[in-house]
Amino acid sequence: MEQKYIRNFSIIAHIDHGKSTLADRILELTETVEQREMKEQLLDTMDLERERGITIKLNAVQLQYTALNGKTYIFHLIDTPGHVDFTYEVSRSLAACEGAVLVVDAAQGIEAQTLANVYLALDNDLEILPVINKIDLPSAQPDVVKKEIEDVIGLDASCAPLISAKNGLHIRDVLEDIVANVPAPKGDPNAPLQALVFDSVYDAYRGVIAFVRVKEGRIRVGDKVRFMASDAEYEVLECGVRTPKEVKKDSLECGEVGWLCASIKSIQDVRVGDTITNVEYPASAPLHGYREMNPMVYCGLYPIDSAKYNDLRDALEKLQLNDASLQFEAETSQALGFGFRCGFLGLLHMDVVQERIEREYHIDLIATAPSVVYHAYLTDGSMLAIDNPSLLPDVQKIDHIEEPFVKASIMTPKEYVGAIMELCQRKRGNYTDMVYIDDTRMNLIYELPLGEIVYDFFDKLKSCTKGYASFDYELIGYQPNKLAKMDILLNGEVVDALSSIVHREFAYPRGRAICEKLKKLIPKQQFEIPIQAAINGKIIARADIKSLRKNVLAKCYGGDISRKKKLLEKQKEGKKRMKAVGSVEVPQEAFMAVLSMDDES
Amino acid sequence: MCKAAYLHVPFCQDICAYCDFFRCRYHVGLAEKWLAAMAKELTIKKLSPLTTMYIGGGTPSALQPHQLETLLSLLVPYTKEVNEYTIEANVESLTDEKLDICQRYGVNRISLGVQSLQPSLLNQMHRHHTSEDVLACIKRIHAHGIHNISIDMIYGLPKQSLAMWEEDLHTIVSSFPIQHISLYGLTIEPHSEFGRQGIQNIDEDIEADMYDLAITLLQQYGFQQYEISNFAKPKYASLHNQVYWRYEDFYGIGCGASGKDKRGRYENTRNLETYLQQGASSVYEKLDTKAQMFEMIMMSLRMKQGISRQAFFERFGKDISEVYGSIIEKQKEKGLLLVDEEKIWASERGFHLLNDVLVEFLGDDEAHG
Repeated sequence: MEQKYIRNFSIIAHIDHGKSTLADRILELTETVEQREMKEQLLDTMDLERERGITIKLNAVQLQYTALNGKTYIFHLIDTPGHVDFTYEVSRSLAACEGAVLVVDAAQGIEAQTLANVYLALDNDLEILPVINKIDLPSAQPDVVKKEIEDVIGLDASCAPLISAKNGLHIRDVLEDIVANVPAPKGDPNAPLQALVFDSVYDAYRGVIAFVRVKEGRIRVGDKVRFMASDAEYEVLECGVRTPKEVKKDSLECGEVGWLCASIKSIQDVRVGDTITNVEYPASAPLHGYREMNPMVYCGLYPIDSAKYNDLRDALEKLQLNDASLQFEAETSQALGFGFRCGFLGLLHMDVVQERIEREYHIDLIATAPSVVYHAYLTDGSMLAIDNPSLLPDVQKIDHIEEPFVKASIMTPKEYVGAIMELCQRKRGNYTDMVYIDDTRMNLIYELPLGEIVYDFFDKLKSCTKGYASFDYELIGYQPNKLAKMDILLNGEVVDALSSIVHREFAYPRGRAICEKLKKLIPKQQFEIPIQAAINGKIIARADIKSLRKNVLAKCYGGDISRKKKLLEKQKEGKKRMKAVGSVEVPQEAFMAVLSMDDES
Repeated sequence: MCKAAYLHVPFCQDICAYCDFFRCRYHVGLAEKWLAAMAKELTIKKLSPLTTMYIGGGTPSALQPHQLETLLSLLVPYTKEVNEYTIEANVESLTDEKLDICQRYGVNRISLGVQSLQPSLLNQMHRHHTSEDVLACIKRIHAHGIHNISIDMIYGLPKQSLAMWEEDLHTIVSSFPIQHISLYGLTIEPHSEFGRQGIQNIDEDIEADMYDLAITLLQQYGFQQYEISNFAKPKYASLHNQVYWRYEDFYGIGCGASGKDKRGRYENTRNLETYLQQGASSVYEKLDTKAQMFEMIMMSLRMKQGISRQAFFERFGKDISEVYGSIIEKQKEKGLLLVDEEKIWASERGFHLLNDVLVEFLGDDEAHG
């Protein structure tokens, strides 16, 4: 196939604006997938993705489309994850394309995430084709949305197809738009190989499979290739495309998107954003844009049953085969025993990993509250990166502490601006800017500590705006702040897993909130349990769990033995889901109590 | 050999708001069919002679006199040598005529469902007697030559204050001529009327205060606590209930009853329609030795006297310390269990926290598979 008949594109959209549904319709219309094979939202293959309606892993599919001009085109549709945690992965998939179909909901208009994705696409010089979806909704306002696209993004939306992905309305217009307006791939088939890695999956039989876009040159089976960032070299054993069934080919030509495998054992060798070149005929430089991915959020994961420590390690290793952004290393907590400190791209990523471990590997977990990476500058001039608050050195040794900040963009109907500003103040945000999007909506820009966002910022934002605000953020670096470690003592003992780093000015209310929350979460036991919050050994808040006075089944009909026994079995089940910390039985959810907000007390 | 029987009468004149036991509203025709089914069940069961007989419910006294008489006469073959013959009754329905019948058939103990003497609380649970009614009823029972009288009381009712509870207990111990008191700590059951109304259990501390108050007060007036929720004047501890707590065998008769024998436990159907058409239709749960050991401990530790080492050894051929030594030791260290050469029993605090103690024994049960 000649390069000029190839079109590589992604679909970008805010969550729920219909990206996956449009992808499904395109697959049907190009008859890539028979109607009867169609599962709803075919590209989202993991159960969790389906349940949550989000896309986590990327997929690339090759389609054939015969356009109205009679010519047959090869489309590569590259799916992107739709969540802020995966921004870098999105940017790499976009870098594999020449164009992006921007889906905007005709009733909801542009959202913060839409904008974020548009900017990523513009960064990668993509041709953006706006499409207005859900025009069959009674609340659809296609003209208003078109104007918004023009005003806010500066794109000409006058010819944007008006579609309903759900009902298959005007899908062909989108395909014609792609043929006419997405540029064919450039690149020289005879130049040294440069192929962009934008995704990978692990296959138990063939090792890591890399998904690539050939930018220059070509890849043939038998070629020796090098991954330029990881410096790993392999011989290509197989390559091909997905339609979405796997189809083997002898080569991947310039401009094409496909997969290759080469008995690659470690996913660490196949980093998203890396460039593959030919060992014999190498490119002088990699494609630009490669970045090492660093986890943004860390937490400790511990098995409730300490006998399952090795099972947990196996589970993490297996998940990591498919997820290079998941990091973990063994750690020991005085309170929780042996476990792992795990790094994630964001909160959603963290939730997904935890849920998969519990669901697919049947290990009950205790997760400590998520923490960001703090930079502790010591009096001797050195710097320690702290991803576990309990490891912060003594206060005497610390000169100052810096924490990561993000630039947050919050789009909201104007009536919620006050509530959002109040929330951002409480979350220690610095006001930056406020711009009108149109008569009714604004975009608020704040600098916020990432550590506050990993608390319950998103939930709070949703609740104070009735769900109307949308939110996106990018990391902008570290800023010094008056930070200190807050310890929690149960029964007089510091529980390392409950330590957190807090801003001194917010320490009192937060300490109180955590103590109160723990008092609610930890069931009464046979002795009184004081709960204390302390900073540098000084107690700043306290709550007491009174001792359990009575736990006995008072008379029910004497002969009903099975009923009595069932009650005890239930109590025992509950006990299994608790962790003994010293002499105190602490339930799973208590370890997340550090997340309780000041205003909940 | 099984020498005790529990017979369940599933009818009530009115349904109490706290109750989720198996019961239904009394209906003449239904009660007669039920009696016919009972006759059939007894024919099939071939009970051995009993030393204790307990007729509970429901409300056995809700039966009409001729029905009550039929029921008692059906039991005559098995109750000739009986030592303790109890029937549950409530104040509203226990007429002189029914008392005559009870006396004639050898009933020697009445368990009266009083629950409360507070008009507002009684109203809330749909009970319709007064304190005076209760006293009059107790006197009538004595007049019929039945001098072993127990009453049931409930604490932890919604809107019940500690003061109300104290007042009721005072009235009972100071002016009611009775020998036995059972206390029921209310748990709101999801299938009771309270549960359906979404009523919450009262504050744990108040409930504990009520329990502690009862223990102190009843003992002052000569009622000895012989089990978690049972108190009796000397020699009036219920013989029948001790069969359960010693984990001895007992027959379960009638729709909704459960029983136990050497190998396990059974529950008769709780569906009245099934019972009328197909009899007891019991479901049998066979218990291995380990499960039986646990259940014996679970029941026995409810008694003030605890579990007898001798009884455990006779039942299982093993010393209890051989099986549960480390658990007993741990609970002893915590001050929850007490131990001597003859028995193992719960301390005052162990009594209060008995579920916590028992869960530890359950843990061992599973660890040994």
